[in-house]
Amino acid sequence: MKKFAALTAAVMGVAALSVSNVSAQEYWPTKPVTLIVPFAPGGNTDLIARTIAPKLGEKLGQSVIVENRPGAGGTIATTEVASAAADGYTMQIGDISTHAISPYVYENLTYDPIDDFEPVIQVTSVSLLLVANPQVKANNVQELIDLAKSDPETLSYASSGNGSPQHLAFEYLKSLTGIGPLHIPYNGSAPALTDVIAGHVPMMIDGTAVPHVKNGALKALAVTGTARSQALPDVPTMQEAGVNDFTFTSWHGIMYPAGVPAEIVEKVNTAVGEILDEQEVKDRFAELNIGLAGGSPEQFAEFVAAENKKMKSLVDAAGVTKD
Amino acid sequence: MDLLQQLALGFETALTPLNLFYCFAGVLIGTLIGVLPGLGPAPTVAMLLPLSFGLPPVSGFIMLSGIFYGAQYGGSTTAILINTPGESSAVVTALEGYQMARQGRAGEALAMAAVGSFIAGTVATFIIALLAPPLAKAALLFGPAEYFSLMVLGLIAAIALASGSVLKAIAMAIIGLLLGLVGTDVTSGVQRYTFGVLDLYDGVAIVALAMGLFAVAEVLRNLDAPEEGHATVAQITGLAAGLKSLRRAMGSILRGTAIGSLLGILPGGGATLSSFASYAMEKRLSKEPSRFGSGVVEGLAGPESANNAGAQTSFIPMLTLGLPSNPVMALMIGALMIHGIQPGPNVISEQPALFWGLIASMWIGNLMLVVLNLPLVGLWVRLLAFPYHLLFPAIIVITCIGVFSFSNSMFDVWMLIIFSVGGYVLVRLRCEPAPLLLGFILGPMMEEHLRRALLLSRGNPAVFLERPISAVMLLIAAILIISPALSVIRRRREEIFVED
Repeated sequence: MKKFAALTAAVMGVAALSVSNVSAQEYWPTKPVTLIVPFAPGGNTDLIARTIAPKLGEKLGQSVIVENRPGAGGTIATTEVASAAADGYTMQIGDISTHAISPYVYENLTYDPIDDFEPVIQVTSVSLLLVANPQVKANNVQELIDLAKSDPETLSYASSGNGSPQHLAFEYLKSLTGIGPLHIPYNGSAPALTDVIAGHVPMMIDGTAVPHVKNGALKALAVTGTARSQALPDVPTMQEAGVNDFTFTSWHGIMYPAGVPAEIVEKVNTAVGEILDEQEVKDRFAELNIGLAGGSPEQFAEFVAAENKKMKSLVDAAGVTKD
Repeated sequence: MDLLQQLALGFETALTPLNLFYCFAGVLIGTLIGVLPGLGPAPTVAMLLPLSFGLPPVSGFIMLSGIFYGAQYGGSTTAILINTPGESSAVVTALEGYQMARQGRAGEALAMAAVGSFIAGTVATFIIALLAPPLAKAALLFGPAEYFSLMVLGLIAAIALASGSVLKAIAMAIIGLLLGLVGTDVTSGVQRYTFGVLDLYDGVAIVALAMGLFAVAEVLRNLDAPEEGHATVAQITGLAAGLKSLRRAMGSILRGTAIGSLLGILPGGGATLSSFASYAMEKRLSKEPSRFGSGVVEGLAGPESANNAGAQTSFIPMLTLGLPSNPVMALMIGALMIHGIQPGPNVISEQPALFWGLIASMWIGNLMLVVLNLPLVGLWVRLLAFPYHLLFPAIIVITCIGVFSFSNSMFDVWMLIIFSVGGYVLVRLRCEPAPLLLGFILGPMMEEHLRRALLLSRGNPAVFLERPISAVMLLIAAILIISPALSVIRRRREEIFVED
């Protein structure tokens, strides 16, 4: 009898739990949601978060608070999110570094970019630019390859750091074309771009160079994505320039820790998808030279898995480590 | 358009009631937040960045700039009053400023900082108006080799930071260099002394180090000897004394302004050096260098001016080339981009109202700072009259909040506690933390530029002598080392002749 009572209680408990669970999801969110930006304020990731957060807050009926938690290339915040409560109140902006490159570059990471996260929606897809100082004697990719082959000793390229997307993209170019310019790493895009503009280093691949190309401080040789850039329609893609198979895009997306109920993931996906469709948002991202993405959580999950495969092979081929 | 017309456009833009209001609001908010220990200009601007998104671009930008120099000024205030430098430049301010405050000369120190900053700001504003584009081009001549030589020069000049034993100062600088090694090596990607702790991958947080070594260590030291400290409230001098010693410090202010204006233009970390360089210069030029470290007004006025001039001219590479020279400028670029304005050479021609309006508002903002802060000097000074047992816990709590908010990290607060204990030990050993901090700041930059220069020259060290700017700086550094040695030899010779 006692046993039965305990069983009934347990069953009722489970039932009650699942009822409250359903209602919790139905009424979610009942308190402010935190959107963690794994980088310092002012960068692209931060701007993306701050553009989306207030609009998402309006749609969800609760404010969305942007919290910057920089450190170790975004991996500190990502580690924290991986083990955060899966109640839907903690989400992060993940990007190509935190969720596809760093896991293969750092040896001490405790999170798994696939198993520990619930991808919500891909927000951006950013094509990078191969830029060179105007003094460099090459006006297109083919001439650059010829130059690098005829003069392999002196040519160098800058990047925003070891294991950065910019570094991997150039190593990818090196492996496909057989050229071998020396890697000069910097601490971030800005100082690297400064030295390319000044002519101390001849070239780099970066995503923030468009304004400098427009005002003539740099020349653009190719975009790394599959389509030409709206901002610079005259610049060919790498494939158009003759580097077969080359595509490399940087991206951002919203990530939940694994275990967040599918209803909540769906709710956020729909809300952010609508936000990305707003003209005001489109205009703002166009000004920042950031391509918008979108799509379902499943599409984003597949994309992240494919990116992990690709980046792992690039990291292995280039022999990049941070340990 | 000639300069007068451009400036007229600038003032026309900056003097509209709306922009004047936002300039004032920025300066006021910046000062109020900047006085909180640990909250330097970068976190303050970052925190308040979203405020500007809803405003028209010019107003938003004017407000952000106001917040920037307001925070800078506010940081100097608490560095002087309670020895809490939240960033590297305020460390130098605290050196002499806090000593002055302990002697009851807080009012004089604050007035000096306000007036020095205003003069420096005025001069730097004119430099920007007259020379921004050519100066920005000149700054690009500085490559890795030049920066390395500049850092060498800075480090050698920095021996002047020591007011006591030179041996101890060198030891402190080396400890600073070693602490600076912690983190990911930029050139190779190797982790150094991080023990697998992610929080150390970016190195030791400078806020935690500076606040621990200076602010909290000072609190602990005062707890040792509560009867000293600020028992001298009655003698606190005010404004009048400040204005009196202004004449004495005028040369220092102008020299500091010159150094700061020049170094501020360099995007690769020149501005960080400016207050240290100015302090070293004042000490070298002083007739009584041994008094430095005990509250010398020149040692406060010079670096404060250098710091403010450098802050102002660091706008040059951002406005004219679209290149940020420090984290605050990176935030400013973000703010401009969110309004659809691409910073770069075209800003001057496409957005003349923004460019010249900002320049005019810089001067107006500096004027507002003086007008705002001179009357406040009395109020700030009265803060010191607070019973110490109430002030101490407040300093510690606010310091922890400041350090935490820098990157929302509890780890940094633990580091603060560790460095506080370390700082207290240093105080007991009579070692000064300033050279340690300089080694910490310059060491990693020096290494990064050295290795980058050698990578680019494919390992050929001659690059440092082949490039003229680099060679000149190394030459000056060599002279700085050799000249005291020579004068010692000469004196010995004279003594020998006398004996003969």
